[in-house]
Amino acid sequence: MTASAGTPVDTSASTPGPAAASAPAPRPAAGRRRSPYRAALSTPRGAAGLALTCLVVLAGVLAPLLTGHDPTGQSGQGLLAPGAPGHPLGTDDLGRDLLSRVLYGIRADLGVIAVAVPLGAALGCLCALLAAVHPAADTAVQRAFDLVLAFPGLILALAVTAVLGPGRLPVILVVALAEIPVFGRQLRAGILVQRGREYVTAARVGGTSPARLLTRHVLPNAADPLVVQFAVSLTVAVFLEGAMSFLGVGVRPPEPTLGNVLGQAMPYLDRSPHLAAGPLTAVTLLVLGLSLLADALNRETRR
Amino acid sequence: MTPPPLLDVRGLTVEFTAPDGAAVRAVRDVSFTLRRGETLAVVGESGSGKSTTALALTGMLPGTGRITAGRVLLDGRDLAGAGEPLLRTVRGARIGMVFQDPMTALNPFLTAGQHLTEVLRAHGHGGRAARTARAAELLALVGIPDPRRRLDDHPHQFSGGQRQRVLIALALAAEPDVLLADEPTTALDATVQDQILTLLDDLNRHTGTALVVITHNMGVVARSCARVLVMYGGSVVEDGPTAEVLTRPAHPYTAGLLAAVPRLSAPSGTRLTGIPGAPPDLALLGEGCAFAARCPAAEDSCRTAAPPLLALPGGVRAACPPAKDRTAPPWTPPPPGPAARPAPGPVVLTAEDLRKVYRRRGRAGRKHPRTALDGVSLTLAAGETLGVVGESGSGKSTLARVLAHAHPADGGILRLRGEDITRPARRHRHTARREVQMVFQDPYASLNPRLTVGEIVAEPLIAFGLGDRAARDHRVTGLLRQVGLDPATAHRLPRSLSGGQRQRVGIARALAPGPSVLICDEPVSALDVSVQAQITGLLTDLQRELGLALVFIAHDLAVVRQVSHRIAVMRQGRIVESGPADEVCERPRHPYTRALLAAALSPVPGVHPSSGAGTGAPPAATAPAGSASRAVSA
Amino acid sequence: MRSYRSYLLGRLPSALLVLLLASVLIFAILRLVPGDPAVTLAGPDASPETVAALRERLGLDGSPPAQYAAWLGSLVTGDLGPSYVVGGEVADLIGDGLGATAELTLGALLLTVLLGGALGILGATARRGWVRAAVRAFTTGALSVPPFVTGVLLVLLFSVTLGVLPPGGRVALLDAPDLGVQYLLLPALCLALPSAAVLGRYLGDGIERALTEDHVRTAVAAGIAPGRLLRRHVLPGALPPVVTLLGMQTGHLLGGAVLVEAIFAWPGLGQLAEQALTRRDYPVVQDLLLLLVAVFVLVQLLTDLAYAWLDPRIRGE
Repeated sequence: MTASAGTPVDTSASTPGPAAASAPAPRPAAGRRRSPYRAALSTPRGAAGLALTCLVVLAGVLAPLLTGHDPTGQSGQGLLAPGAPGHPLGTDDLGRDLLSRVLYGIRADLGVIAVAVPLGAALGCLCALLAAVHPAADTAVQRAFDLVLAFPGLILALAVTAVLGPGRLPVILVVALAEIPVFGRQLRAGILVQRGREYVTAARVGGTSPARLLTRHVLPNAADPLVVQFAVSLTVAVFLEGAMSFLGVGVRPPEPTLGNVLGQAMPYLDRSPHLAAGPLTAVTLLVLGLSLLADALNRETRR
Repeated sequence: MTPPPLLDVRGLTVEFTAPDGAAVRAVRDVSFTLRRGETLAVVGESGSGKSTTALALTGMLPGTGRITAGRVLLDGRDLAGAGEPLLRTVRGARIGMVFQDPMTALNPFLTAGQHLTEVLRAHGHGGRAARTARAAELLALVGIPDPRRRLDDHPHQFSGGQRQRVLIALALAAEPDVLLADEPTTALDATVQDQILTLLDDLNRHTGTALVVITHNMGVVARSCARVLVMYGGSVVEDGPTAEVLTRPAHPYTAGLLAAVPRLSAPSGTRLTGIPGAPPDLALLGEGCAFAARCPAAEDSCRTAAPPLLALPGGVRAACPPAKDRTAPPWTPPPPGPAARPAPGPVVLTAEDLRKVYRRRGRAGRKHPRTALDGVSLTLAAGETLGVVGESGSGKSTLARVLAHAHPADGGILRLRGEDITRPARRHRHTARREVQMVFQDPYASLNPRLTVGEIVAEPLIAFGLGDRAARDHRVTGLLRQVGLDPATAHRLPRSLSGGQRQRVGIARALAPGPSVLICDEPVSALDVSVQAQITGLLTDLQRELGLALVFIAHDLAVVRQVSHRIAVMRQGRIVESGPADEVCERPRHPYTRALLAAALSPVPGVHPSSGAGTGAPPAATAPAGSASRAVSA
Repeated sequence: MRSYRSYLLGRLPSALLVLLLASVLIFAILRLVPGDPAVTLAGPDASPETVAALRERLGLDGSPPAQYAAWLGSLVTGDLGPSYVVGGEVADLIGDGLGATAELTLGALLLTVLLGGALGILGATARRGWVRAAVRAFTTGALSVPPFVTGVLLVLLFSVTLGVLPPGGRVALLDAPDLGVQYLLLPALCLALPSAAVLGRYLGDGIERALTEDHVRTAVAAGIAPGRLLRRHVLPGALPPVVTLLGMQTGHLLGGAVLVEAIFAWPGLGQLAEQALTRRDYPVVQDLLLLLVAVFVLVQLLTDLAYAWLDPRIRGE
């Protein structure tokens, strides 16, 4: 079982990967590529994105601990300036504490996007998998995607709220629906590309079953763009929620979301711009953080 | 007194910045001169710095590349530190460049005429009409028929060879003094390669343009250049007249490289000689001789200091101090002769009248059926190697895939030990798959980048349900040893391995289920010449040990002849000639086989093979399609 | 040209299919709305006779297939009937809104192309590092601020603080071009900013990628100057995918118009849709949704054709 005379043991690595330390055998991780996701998070761009996102998310999650005010409780002291005792960001036109409205707004937004985007992504991926199984299913799924995509963004929102009326559920539904073809198309394209790769043919010749081929070889290699897309879709969801609230077809007031807190501040923008400052900062930081994350992930996974 | 050289490169050193910030020296202290009308070859393997040197001459280094030392004197003017405006007047006008891949080197959005007139315009040639007329002249010069009409064609409407001709026309448009061709024929079929080299030769002779050919192919060197520069690990290891260097190499690397080149004259069964190890990683290279790690004659001093180029008799210079006192050649290849091979056993695999038609959907929804296999029959015995040769589009890769059940056949019968396995039932498909395994051409693309070597090799074991986890691990270790890899490689990812190592992994994977037939689709064509021999040797050894039947598919006749018992020549989906390997190469019957043999290059200077084997080599097109001169069954 | 024509013919059926499916979908979901629109319309005190009469006038008395057929028929003849809630002929309402929305969207599209093109080219080819960084910061910013905030900020800056542009309303461009442009500028800019940022990034990435391609290296080696290189060798190849992106962005512009019209009191289809929705005028909603989808599908079709036309490999001889 040893190498024959004419074939000397080839031990020299010519192109070690970034983490392929020339460490000897005992280290099992030698030559293992560091996950591109972790690499992305350790770049300045990725770290900044992660920090911003975490900051906003934590603020939302910990809202009950960070403020004692009820976000819908009216105090009778309307339009207090920032720095007023007990109201660090001041109050809005109805005398509600702005800080608690912003924090609970983040919380409500997270509640919407954390349900809607994964739901849309999961359904989209499911459709793509279905399409990967049979050509007929592929055609059907493709046409279904075309159909949903024919209703761009807010027009879809109008169509859905025409039936369901305003509320939290329609927002979730609109976001999820809008994301299905986005993820579905991306994964479908990824599967098609990876299926054409030679290592897949090699695995097939090696006896690998179609199901294992998909789960072990094709999907892991097609997943990277989806991770990037997920971050992008979260930002789209924040915007969509905001726009729907602004148009009055989103989550119903008085419950705060970033969108409707901001929307309610708009009429006072010239007199009391501080009403908009809080929610605007929160939205911008969240979206900026997610965009930076998406950007960093995109750069690392494309290498 | 001789006139001053046209191009005088002195001590050129190029560095790149690695992602971790370290400086990587890709070109080290390279010096050479080029005179008007001269022909010079720069030969080397991957990582030798030959292409980087070429790009550095006109300030076209990509990314972080920069010249850190040395001068590039063109007619006495230094280009190494020159600014973009000056360099732009040099590019095209003084030094024209031709790049490797004619498929991507032309802009798909511009017509041939637009390509040419753009360059003429950039160098201030005439008005619009004059430029168009000149563009047509240029196309005619490089041998494109009906040039006036073809000016309006886009690159996708030209064949590969014609595209390379357009690229050459482009490089010649502004009448440069030097034509720099970087691997000008590597992507082309042998017969087309021959035509392009003839064209370059003619152009050099008729226009007096000095020619620099950058190549990895010793045959191209012998064929097209009077002088040669051998590079290794970023340094020049030897330079001198081609005739001298190729017949009496002074540097151990040159000698090893020449010994590794398969020769068409060597009979079937001759073992190829390789150089142990792999080309160096530039980032890890120290100060000493880059070749020291692989050199059989290395001395301690070789590892510590960079050896200078020393003048030797015959106008040769070699960067090998020990070579000065050496009288015997630095490398003695084992005597050619048939290696011990057992006679082939009983027939394992037979194919009868295989057919395969690909239906490609164009973007417009039109269907273009393309017949890839048109009635191919063959037999294969245990312990036997059947070589399949053909140019691109001949259907040889499709044959490999159909034989290995990667694609279903559209017609014909495939038998394994007499049993029909053409369309096996689910139950039998596993047996058929286990018996016939495949080694792929591209060791980069055929390994899943996310799995470790151990997981890749274990994959077929899991798929065929062979053994439990411990047994599998044991088997993987055994397989890695069998293909000459350290078992610790199992924990590494493919991207941390060299090309040769990856191909060994591919072979280990194919051996995992214990097949009796191994289909090798161009297993060595993506590898460096010095590594090729290791892989062909490994395949031969495995065949002897395991009694494997091999189908060895390649475009290089010389490799195929040495490796195979029998050869089948494919063209347009058919086998046009087949027979014992030596018989087919010595006494070809079919005109297409003769054309292939005539176009094959040999690393022997001054001997153009077309004056030998073939007789006035008819170009590929004149061989009538499918006019089989004798048995069309291999 | 033959292949191009067959390409065109190959695209039409799937576009028509999507349109047909969309019409069925719109028709179906509006029938899913809880409650009887006729009852809602007639008010709580209406007699059953009034409701029945209203139902007949609304075309709600037949079977669903018959209703669908009647609807398609009305679309073909262009006689969409009267709107009972908003008032006036539906065709006129939509016609007026369509003009305004087309003006806004086309204006925004023009700004997207100009701004996005400039950002893309500048971001990919500027010599100075800080210019590229500034372009990058600008696009990131434009993508991180929600459009409804951008809109209000623009009003605040140009109308309230500087007082140079009107804060809302519309003067038809064809009636008074100079005045119309003033009214159009802010809403169009607000609508165009995110799209321009996306386009700029995409184009910039495309140019950067194209600059590393082999054929660009060929051109550089032949001595082509940078400006010419960009215009003749890089941009033609970077353009087709940008055209596809523009098609998608036109959808975003149409959707975004709903929002921007609300901010700037722009009397377009978005405003009409919002009005019709809140007042449950389903015939108007139905026609409007289908119109918007049809426009988007048409734009997609045109983009596909433009893509094929720009790429000589598809265009054929």
